[in-house]
Amino acid sequence: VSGRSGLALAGRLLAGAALAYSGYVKLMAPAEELALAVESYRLLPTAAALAFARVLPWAELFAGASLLAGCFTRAGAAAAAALFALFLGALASAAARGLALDDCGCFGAGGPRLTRPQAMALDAALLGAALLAFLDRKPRFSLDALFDGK
Amino acid sequence: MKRLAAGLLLAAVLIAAVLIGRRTAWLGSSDVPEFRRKGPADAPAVLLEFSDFECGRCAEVQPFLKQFLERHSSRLRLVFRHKPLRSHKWAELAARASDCAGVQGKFWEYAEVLYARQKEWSAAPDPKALFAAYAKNLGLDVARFEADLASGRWDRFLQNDVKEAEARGVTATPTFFINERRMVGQSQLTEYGERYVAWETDR
Repeated sequence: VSGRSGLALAGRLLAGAALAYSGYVKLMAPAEELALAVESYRLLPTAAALAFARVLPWAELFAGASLLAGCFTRAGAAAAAALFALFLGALASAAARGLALDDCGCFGAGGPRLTRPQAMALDAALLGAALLAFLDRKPRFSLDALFDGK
Repeated sequence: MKRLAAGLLLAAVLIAAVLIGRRTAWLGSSDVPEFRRKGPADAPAVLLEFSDFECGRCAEVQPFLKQFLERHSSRLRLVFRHKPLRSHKWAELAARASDCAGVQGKFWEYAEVLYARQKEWSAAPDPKALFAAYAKNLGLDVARFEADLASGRWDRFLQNDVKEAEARGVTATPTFFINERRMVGQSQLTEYGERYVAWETDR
């Protein structure tokens, strides 16, 4: 494993584990609780926040599992990068509007609570990790590599 | 083709894991004392409130909740359950104090005082004296109130609620249920409350 593909592998597993974990933790809690955290960003009306809270954890779980298993890896990495960029944008927008968030909602209501700077640093690092995974056209130790006969 | 099959298999495993995880997490029911029930006993719908006296949002929602209950006074029965959050230092003690007031017939009045004076007692190094003073102002038997609170005589009410909150997967406050339909926070109660009452009572 070369240095670059090793880095891509590490990025893929890191981003995948973080997304799969946060998606699963959110799915184990009621969507209405996540919706409350989403509402506090004041970007979506109540009904839309609830719909978003129902869909988001599944997107996280599937993208995370895709990265961990290396199945449709690049699509999973693109989805993961889009999710992290979205989270980062929402946090930055809340900061710009001076909103005090009780909870970033990163891991749902029941998971670990992060302050806004912690959440932004984590999202930025994971966005980088997901981009590294996306740039790797031949992911090692993956189902894709197995199916491609490599 | 193999890749698609593997992807679908992975998705199926994930969906099954979530469904099984949720089923084991969200079951159960336990009793709640009569003094924490309000409204007609034969009401077609129950509004279940999980609240924490130290939570700002719980205090803020009270005026709206009062109006909501007045609008549906013949159709809704309110059942109050404690959900003291671990991050709130005195929430559990406040919940126990409210039950000690409840057994003397003043649960709702005491709860109102706790919300109204939230900033005062939540910042106190030890709010027991304040809790006793609130009991006195409401005309309760203070000696009995203090003895009950110190001995933990009515703690089982709180323990039942904590178990019920866990069984229902409640980790945020205020959480409301109209029959089994969940809402968290005032905006969800505003958005869905009327509709849920109508669905549950117009059948």
